[in-house]
Amino acid sequence: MNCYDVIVIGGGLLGCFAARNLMRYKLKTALLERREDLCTGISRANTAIVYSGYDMKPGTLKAKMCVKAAQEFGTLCAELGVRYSPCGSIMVCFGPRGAQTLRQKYEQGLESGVRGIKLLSPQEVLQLEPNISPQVVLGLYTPDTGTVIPWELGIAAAENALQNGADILLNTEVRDIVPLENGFQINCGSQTFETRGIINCAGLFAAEILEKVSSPKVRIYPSGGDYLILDTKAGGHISHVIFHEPEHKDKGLTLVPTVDGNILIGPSEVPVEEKNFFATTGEGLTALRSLVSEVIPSLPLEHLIRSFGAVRPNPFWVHQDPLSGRYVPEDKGISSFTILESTPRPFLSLIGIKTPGLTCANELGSYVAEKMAALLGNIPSNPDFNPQRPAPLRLNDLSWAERAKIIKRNPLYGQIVCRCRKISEGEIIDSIRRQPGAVTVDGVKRRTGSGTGRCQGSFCTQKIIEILAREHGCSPAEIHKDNKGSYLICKEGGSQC
Amino acid sequence: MLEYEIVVIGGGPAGMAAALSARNSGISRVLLVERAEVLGGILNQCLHAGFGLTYFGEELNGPQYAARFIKRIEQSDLKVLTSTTAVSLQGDGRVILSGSCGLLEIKAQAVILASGCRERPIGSLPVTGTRPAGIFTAGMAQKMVNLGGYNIGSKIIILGSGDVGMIVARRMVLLGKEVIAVIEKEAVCGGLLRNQIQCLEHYGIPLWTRCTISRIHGQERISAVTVQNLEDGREKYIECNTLITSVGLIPEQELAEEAVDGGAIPPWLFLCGNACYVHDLVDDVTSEAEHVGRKAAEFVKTLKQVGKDYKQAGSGMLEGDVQGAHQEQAPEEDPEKADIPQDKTQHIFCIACPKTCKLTPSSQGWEGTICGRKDPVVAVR
Repeated sequence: MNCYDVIVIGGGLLGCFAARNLMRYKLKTALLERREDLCTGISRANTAIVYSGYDMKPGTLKAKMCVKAAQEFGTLCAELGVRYSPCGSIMVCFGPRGAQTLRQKYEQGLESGVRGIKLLSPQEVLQLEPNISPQVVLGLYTPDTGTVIPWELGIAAAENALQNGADILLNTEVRDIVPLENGFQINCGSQTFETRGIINCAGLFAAEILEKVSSPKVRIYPSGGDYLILDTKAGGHISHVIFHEPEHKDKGLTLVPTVDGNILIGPSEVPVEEKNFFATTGEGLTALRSLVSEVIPSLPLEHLIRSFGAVRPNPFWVHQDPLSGRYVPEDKGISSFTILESTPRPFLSLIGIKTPGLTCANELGSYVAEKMAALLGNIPSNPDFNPQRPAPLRLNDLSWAERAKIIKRNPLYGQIVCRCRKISEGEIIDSIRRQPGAVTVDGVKRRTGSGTGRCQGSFCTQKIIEILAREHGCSPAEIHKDNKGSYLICKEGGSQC
Repeated sequence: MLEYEIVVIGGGPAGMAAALSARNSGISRVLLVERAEVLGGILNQCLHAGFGLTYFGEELNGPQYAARFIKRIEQSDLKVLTSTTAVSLQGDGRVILSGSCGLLEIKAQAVILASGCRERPIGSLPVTGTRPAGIFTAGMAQKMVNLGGYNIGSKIIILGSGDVGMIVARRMVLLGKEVIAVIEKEAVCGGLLRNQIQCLEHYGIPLWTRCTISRIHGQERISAVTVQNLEDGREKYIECNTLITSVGLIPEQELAEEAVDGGAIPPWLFLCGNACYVHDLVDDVTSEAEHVGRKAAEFVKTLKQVGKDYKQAGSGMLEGDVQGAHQEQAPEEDPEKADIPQDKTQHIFCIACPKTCKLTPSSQGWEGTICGRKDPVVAVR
């Protein structure tokens, strides 16, 4: 039997940060993730923005957390060795309705203490972002908006948790939770765990986890979004995060100059029925293209290298219909950060955390960790907690002289595997050997950026499969793209062949 | 810092030919850099025949064609670095190479970029749906199957009737796999007629023209695609476990872009092969690359004669030649291309079967079909 003080269910961004912050206390902690790697759910399809906090109603938990988190985000990323681009943002609009919204957001920002927020005239907008359509009528600028790679951040937090003593258990899906006198028993098929407290960070499936111990109060309904990614050749086209406030009630456009120098466009808003439905839609992609032609007509969409679909969690309170006995959602969804506390045993659930979940991941983690420590009763803080996570070597961030030294020490850093991003074999091996290391091709991609360039892995995937197989001592046919079942090479004699 | 007169980046057919021709034009210090472990480039994964018909007058497969040049290089005093990637090409002609031996900085008087091309990824197309495992570009599939010896799938759809796509379709059939169809959005096949006949028709692989893939299905591994008829908009759900895409090749010119950095193309920089524009036939790549090798050699010699550094050399003096090497804008209209020595007379072939018989016109029609075909498919080279 594996006994813990706290078990975190779900290895997305929030789960990773909950685990990291639990290590600030003397708590024996494990993080359970059902898939082969971390950050493969909501966190893998995200707009990658650190919000400065003017969108939220002043005074709410969301607004307070967001404003503080954005101002401290650079420090957090420095601690975790994660790349962060504090590029600032400009919200633009093209008519009176949008202008009214911008002024309202400006007031909200002032009230919430968003630093450096200011309204920009069309000339000022065009000075900062000359490619925006000259039809722009007003801009709203904040310097504290930034962009970060969500999975890079989440994986860094998980590594940091692990360095501080947390156990990270992949391929571990929670089947049942049985309340015990002093905690819970969690059954995960072949493994069983006992824990005093649970933090539920199961994202899209958080309500299902909660319902294993209580009657339904809340349900999460998915919605989808489409994104486009442009090659780094288009990267210089914008230098700030651009938000577009549309004149009609539909969703506006967001453009992000990413840390890697690409442009991320999206998301559209499309209905989906399935929670695992990470797919793009024709309507969504068309909507994005038409918005681009309105907001930034010169954007070179011919440099498109990828599109992907995201799923978002939309939480709704539910009540039981007396006639059918079914649980039906209330009319309006929950918009605040919802952290449910089930009694009598410590069970905290983060329910349907949407924007600005990425921005507030560490704040939310710290919030639930503190709460859990209190619920478990006077848990002392951990004096040995080290918030610093040693960053992996990223050759592209180094000078030629530094690179030369590293290659001399380990020649594998001289062998370029991913041509487009210029990622070396040494960096790929490092991503596999780190803990928790990559076991899939996409795991290597999330840790090193390999395969995210203009050829989208057509040159390097085979080599990466071979390196993974070599490092894990298995056959290349056992290496998956991203999860069980996503085989790249057929096993001889297997059913697929 | 090492110094070379000419550095050739890329050891595929273009780079090998350019390096040899530069060396044979009297340049003694030529460096050839290849990122793979061996020379040959994409030729190494092309196990099919059809190479060398115009250049060598005989039919070779990819590795055989490459081997002829590798042999010439081994017999020469060319300096070759394999497993070495050019990671940076700077505006002053410095090349930075990364390899197991370390990071090398090379000063070159002329640089020939022969880095080939890459395949357009599926993400650049308006194809919706999931992004599961089992989607390969044709070149990637060809390499995995022919060089890696991997089994990449058994029920295959091919998107795009480019040459590589059709060649891979045939290869998969020869390996006992089911190729459901090759899907082409245009009304006609995208690749050479020869490949349409030799790869698709001879193996009974259907070509669905005016069709595209509108949606990809499958959560972990691809399970099906929706094929849309572009004429009437009708859609068909087709189960498969592999999708191979052959939807276009893009010259890999990033190093040149780095050196140019928005300014004028420096006179010391030459492009050849598929890095310049995408060629149908490797024989043409070889001939053009030899021409570019000679031009680069002339450039280096001119520098010597004038006794000047290339920076001081009047760029106008050589502009025409340099432009000749830069055919990426409008290769067909470039007058320099016409200057490429047409030392081989044009031949007429029948491409209806793998024998590719050489034909001569006669009063009865065509003569020379050794395979005995009465209905030759004529192609002029």
